[in-house]
Amino acid sequence: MRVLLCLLGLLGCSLYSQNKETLYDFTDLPQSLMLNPGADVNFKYHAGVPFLSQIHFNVGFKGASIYDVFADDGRDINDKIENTINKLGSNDYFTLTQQLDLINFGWRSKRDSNLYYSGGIYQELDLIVYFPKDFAVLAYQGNQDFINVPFRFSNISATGEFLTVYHFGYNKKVNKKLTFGARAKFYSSMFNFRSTKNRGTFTTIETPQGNNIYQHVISNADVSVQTSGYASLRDIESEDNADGAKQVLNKFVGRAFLGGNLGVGVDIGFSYKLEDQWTITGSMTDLGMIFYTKDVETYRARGSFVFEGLETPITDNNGQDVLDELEDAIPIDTLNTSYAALRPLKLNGSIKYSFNKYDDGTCDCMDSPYQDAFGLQIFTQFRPKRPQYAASLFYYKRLSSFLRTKLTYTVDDYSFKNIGFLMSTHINKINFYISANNLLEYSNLADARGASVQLGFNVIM
Amino acid sequence: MKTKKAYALLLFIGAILITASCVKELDFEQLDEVVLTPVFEADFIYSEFDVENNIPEGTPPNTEFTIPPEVLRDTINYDLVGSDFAIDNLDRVELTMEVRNIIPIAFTIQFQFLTQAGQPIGQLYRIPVQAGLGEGTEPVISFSDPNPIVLDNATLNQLASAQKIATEIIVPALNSDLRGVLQIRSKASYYVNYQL
Repeated sequence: MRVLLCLLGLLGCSLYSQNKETLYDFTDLPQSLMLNPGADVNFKYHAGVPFLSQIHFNVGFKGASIYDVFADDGRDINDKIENTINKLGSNDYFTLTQQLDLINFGWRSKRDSNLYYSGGIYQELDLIVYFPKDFAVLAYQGNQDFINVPFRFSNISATGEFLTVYHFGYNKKVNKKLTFGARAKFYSSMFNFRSTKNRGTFTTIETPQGNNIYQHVISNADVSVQTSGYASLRDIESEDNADGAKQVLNKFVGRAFLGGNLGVGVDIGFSYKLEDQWTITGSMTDLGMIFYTKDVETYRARGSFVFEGLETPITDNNGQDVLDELEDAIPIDTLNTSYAALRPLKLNGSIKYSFNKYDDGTCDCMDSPYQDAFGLQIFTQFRPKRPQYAASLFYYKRLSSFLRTKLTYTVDDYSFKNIGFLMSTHINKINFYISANNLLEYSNLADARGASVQLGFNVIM
Repeated sequence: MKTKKAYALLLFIGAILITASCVKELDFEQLDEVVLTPVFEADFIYSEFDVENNIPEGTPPNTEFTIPPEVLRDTINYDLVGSDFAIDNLDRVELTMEVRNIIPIAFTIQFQFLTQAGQPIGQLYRIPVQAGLGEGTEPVISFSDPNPIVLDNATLNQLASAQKIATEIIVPALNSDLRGVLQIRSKASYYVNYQL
C-alpha cells in the first residue's frame, strides 16, 4: 500500500515525457542531431566530453502533484489522498526518463562537405506507470459503494526499460533547401518489464434471484507481466551485500556492452527551407524494436471465476477451499517465451521564421546566420495507452557568438504554463549548455507537474 | 573579457535557478497517519433446502417424517475472522443473514464458529425463520435478530482461533405432502482499519 501511496504522491506532475523542446532544432548544439538527424548543422566536427556531453533528467506526473498529498497544510492526509484518488484517472501516469551520453562525436566528410557523420553511445532509463485507478479505489474504499461496477484490469499498465543505445548517423545537405538525415541504432537492453494490454474485470454483482446476495465475478481476466533481465538478478544469492551489489553491477555492465537483449531502430529527419527565412523540420526517432530472448520470464494469469459464497450442501461434509478453486480457475503461469516490444516512437516537427541576419566574421559559413528566430514545434510520443502530445512556441536568440539562447512556451493536455529556457555558451571550441523547463514552478517544485533538465559539455568546431 | 561576462551571466542564472527553486512545506511523516478504511462486501454462506428432495423414498402421502439432524448439519472452512490480519486490522464484521421460506413451517437456523479441532468458540447464533405461505407463493423473508449480526473487534479477538463454521437447519417434523424451498443467503461486510 505504501507503494501505491508513493505512486499516488509521485503522480503529481504532468508529463513532458521525452520532449526536449528547448533542444529541438537548436542547431548550435550537436545534441540537436539526436532529436532530428536531419537538423541543419554546420559543424566541422564535435566531440562530447565523455559522460558529460548530455545529462538529461525528466520526471513527469499527470493528474496531481506531490504537494496535493504531502503538503504540510494542516489537512488530514487521508482526505487529501481520497481527493487525489478521485481526481486522478486511469490515463494519468508517472514517468521518469534519464539519459546519459557516454560518448558522442561527429565529423564532416572530407570527400563531401555536405555530409556530416555522428555517432556515440548513450544510456537510457525510461519508465511509465499508469495510475491503476480502479484498484486504488478498491484498496482505498472497498467494493461496498461499487456494487455492479466493474474494476478493470486494463487499468494496470506500466513499462520500464534500462538500456544502452549505440548509434551512428549521417546528415546530408541535399541541396540549398533540403537537409536530410538518418541514424541507425542498436539497442542493448539491460532490464525490461512491461505489463500492458491487460484485460478482464472484477465485479461484485447484486443477484436478487441468485443463490446468494452477490456474485463476485472475475471475468475473462488476462493479466501478464513480461520481464527480461529480472530472473537472473532474482537468483543472485549472496549473504554479503557488497558482493551481491557487485554481482548485479557486473551483470548490468555485461548487458550494457551488447550482452543484453538486442534490438534495432532508426531515426530519420529533415530540414527544409521554404524560403530564405522560413524553415520546416520533421523527425521520427526510435522507430525500432527490441527482441527479448535472454533471461526472459513472463507471469500470466488467465481465466474466469465466480464466487457466490460458501455453499453448505448439507449432505456433503467436505470443506470448500475457495483459494484452491480460484487457483484452479485462474492459474498463474510462469513462461519463458521470448517477446518483442516497440521502442516508444517520437515525432517532432517545427516551423521557424528567422530574421535579423548578421555577419560579425565569427561564422565560417556560406550563409551568415540569423540572430533571431521564432516558431512553433509539435511533439508526439507513443505510449502504451495513447500518444502524448505537446506544442511549443519558441524564440531563439543569438545574443553573441558565445551566447545563444532559446525560450519556449509549451502547452499539452495538462499544462498551459510551461516555460523552458536553454542557454548555450560557445567559448572558442568549448561549449557548455544547460536547459530546464517548467521554470515558473521552481518556486515550489513539489507542486510542479513535471521538470526536465539537460546539460552538457562539447568540443565543437 | 567576453568569456568572463558569459561565465558571470551563467553563474548568475544558475544562482537564480538554485535559489529560486525549492520544495516547500512537505511533510512525509504524514504517511504515519494514513489509515485505510475500505469496506469490502463478500458473500458468506448460502444453502438451499428443498423438502421434496428430502422425503425418504417410499413415504406414503400425508405422512409425518423426520430428517436425521446430521443431514442438516455442515461444517465449512472459514478462517477469515481468525486470521492475524482480521484481528489486527478489522474494526468489525457485519453478517447479514437472509432466509427465504416458501415451506409453510417455521424453522430455526443456527451457526457457530469452531476451532480447527472442532471446539465451539464464541456464541451460538440462531436465526428464527418464519413459516412460508406454501408452494406457488412469494417467499417469506426472515432476517437475523439483530440484523446485521455485528462481530466487533472484541468479538473478533475472541474468535481468534476460529477456523470453521458449523451450520445447522433445525427442522421440525415434516409431512410428505409439504412442498417448497428454504433458501439461506448471506453476506459479510468487512470494515477494515489498516494503519500503514
